[in-house]
Amino acid sequence: MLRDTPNTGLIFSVLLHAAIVGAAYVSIPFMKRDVIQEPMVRMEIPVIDEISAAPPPPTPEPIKEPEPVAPTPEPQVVEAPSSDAMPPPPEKPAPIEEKKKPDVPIVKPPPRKPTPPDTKKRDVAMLESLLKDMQKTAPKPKPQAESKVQDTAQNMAPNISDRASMTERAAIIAHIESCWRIDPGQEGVEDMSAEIRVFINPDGSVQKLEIVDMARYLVDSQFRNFTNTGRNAILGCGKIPMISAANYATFKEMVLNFSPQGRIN
Amino acid sequence: MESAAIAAAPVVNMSAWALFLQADLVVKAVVVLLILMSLWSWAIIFDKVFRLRSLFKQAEQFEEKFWSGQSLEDLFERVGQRPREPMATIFTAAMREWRRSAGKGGTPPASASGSALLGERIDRVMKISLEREMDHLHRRMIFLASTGSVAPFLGLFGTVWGIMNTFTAIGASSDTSLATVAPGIAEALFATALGLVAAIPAVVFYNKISSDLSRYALRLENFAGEFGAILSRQLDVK
Repeated sequence: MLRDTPNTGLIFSVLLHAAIVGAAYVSIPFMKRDVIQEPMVRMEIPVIDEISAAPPPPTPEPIKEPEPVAPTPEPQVVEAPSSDAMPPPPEKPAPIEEKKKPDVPIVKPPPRKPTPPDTKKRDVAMLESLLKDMQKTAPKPKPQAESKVQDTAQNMAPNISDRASMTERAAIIAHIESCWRIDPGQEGVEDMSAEIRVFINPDGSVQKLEIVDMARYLVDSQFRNFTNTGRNAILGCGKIPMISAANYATFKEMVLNFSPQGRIN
Repeated sequence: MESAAIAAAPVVNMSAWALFLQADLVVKAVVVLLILMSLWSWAIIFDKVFRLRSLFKQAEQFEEKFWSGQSLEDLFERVGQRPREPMATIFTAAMREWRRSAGKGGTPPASASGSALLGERIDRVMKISLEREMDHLHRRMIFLASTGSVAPFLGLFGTVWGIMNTFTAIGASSDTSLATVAPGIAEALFATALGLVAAIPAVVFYNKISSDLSRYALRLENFAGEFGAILSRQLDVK
């Protein structure tokens, strides 16, 4: 009997498989060509670049200078002289003391009442505490200004020092952007933005990172993926180029806003 | 910057052949094995389907001849010593036994016990012949059954292995972009797809063929029973 080997069956089977593979090769697209090379991705990227690279820096700056001059510069301008003016106050008290002795009752009771005790130690202590206060207040406005910049994107960078720091900031951002690998295929990525607070060591290495919206980071996996791309960019980028060590205080803590539309702010 | 990043991202060829070539040795082995299993199970499927169709047709023809009223001796002469199908085989086995006992002296055994014994022997011979034929027909069905049940697992094994490798590679490169993750997983999933492709037809046709086989076995049994009844009637008559 002819039942030992399914010869005809084998032939039919081979033919069937060949036909299926052929049909699949012809009709199913992914069997033939690569998927990732689609031009779609490349079309999008230049658009993002144009949007991000050009507008934010040039337009805001001219606008900034006239408007905000009033609010922010004053405190800083004041700070600078005050810190420089440290020497004068100690000099002043001496003449004042001399003057006071005659004038004590008459002229300056209210303003000088703090000074009348006039022991230099106290005066110095006062100045120091004043200076400390100034120092405390001095750094504060800058981060606030920065966060305002990040938040509102109406860059409020009023005076020269701030503008210098903005270019340095731009350099830092450019450095990190070069390491940022965004996943353009991620769902909802174009509407996403993540803020990461970066603490930088004096040598430019990254001390630590904080994800600002930690609650969402823990809950929303899309957001987490997106934030992680930014985090990887910062961590994987090596030392951050510090253009001037003098401005370290400004940059030791920065909030970077990662958004695929505006890139990093 | 972004364009640079895109340029740096590996351009991955996602064609099935490229996926296969990129795959790990174990995954390759699994894929090859699954393709061979699919080939062989389809060979068995075609063989069994064609065989069963022709068997039903031959059984139809034989029963037509058998019930056409011609003498069993004539039919036996016509079928000859080498029957080509199970029903004819059962018929010849019974007729041979009948002739050997009945035709020894030219007459059937005179005693009732002797004729009863002959009838029993004929039944037994037919039963053995039927079982042998059905055993032949059932050959290789086990391969279909085990392909249907094992191929998905084999494909799954290939996938798990491939994904393990992929994750190891991701860990080594510490790059989690979709472009680096996707090809490895696609290549691994390819194994599961092949496993399912091999298993689904095997299961479907195993069910169809085994139900057809049991129908055919029932038909043979019925024929054997009827033929045994005819022979025992003849024994009684003589």
